[in-house]
Amino acid sequence: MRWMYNCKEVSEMVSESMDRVLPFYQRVLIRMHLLMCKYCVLCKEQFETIRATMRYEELHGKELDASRSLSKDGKERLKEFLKNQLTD
Amino acid sequence: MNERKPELAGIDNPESWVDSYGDFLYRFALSRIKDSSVAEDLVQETFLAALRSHENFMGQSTVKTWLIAILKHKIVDHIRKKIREPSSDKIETLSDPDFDEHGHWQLRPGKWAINPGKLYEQKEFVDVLYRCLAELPERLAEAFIKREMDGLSTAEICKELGITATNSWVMLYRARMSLRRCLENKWLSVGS
Repeated sequence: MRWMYNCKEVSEMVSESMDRVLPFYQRVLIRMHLLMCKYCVLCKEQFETIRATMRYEELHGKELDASRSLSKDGKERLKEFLKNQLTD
Repeated sequence: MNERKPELAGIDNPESWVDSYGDFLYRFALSRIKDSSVAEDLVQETFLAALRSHENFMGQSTVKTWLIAILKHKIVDHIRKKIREPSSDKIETLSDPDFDEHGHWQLRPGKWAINPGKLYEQKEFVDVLYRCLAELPERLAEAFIKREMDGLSTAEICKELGITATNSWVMLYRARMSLRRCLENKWLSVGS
């Protein structure tokens, strides 16, 4: 077991911790590193911002521009298309 | 509403999807892609993909969520094609310029002035993120999208992509690092 990780290793483990639960000692060592290293903190924040952005849109269809709609023709075209797909 | 499987109600009648979800999908596509005819095409592709894969729809989400997930993949595919077309020089494959040989930061991460709770005010950021996503090597992007957009676990991703767990963590790490770097270059230089 190692007691010090460098920034590269920490950034890797920070990412991994977003996908699975890391062993306790690793989490402690990461936290210690983060207390001392502001760049790794920033990196972690950036990872989290990227995640939040990717997931964010799931929830907020509301901000979409409601004034834009498919045209009547467009809808007919789509229906026709789907109908043809079904009969194929 | 009180049918046994309400979320599958429209499956037998895809034409009804157009009325139920057409506008929503169209607006969503337009929020990422400015061209309205392209947006319409993407809606059509989404319906088609849904039609072909509706056996896979397990009813674990609503039809709307399911369709949006498909649409997002289509949007990224579209952007990818568009940026690869003109002079498709691959984005330089990076051999960790972020760190020096001792694993210390070489290109230090900056502070992003982004409030994840108010992303709708930061449309530019989201646009750049999509673009960066489209620039990722396809396989990395696939793993990343499955994880962060579709919300799959890494175990599920491993199964779908036929890779090991360690592999999946490495891929997701590379994707995150590339996106981070890409955003630092492209978004910060936009001047936000």
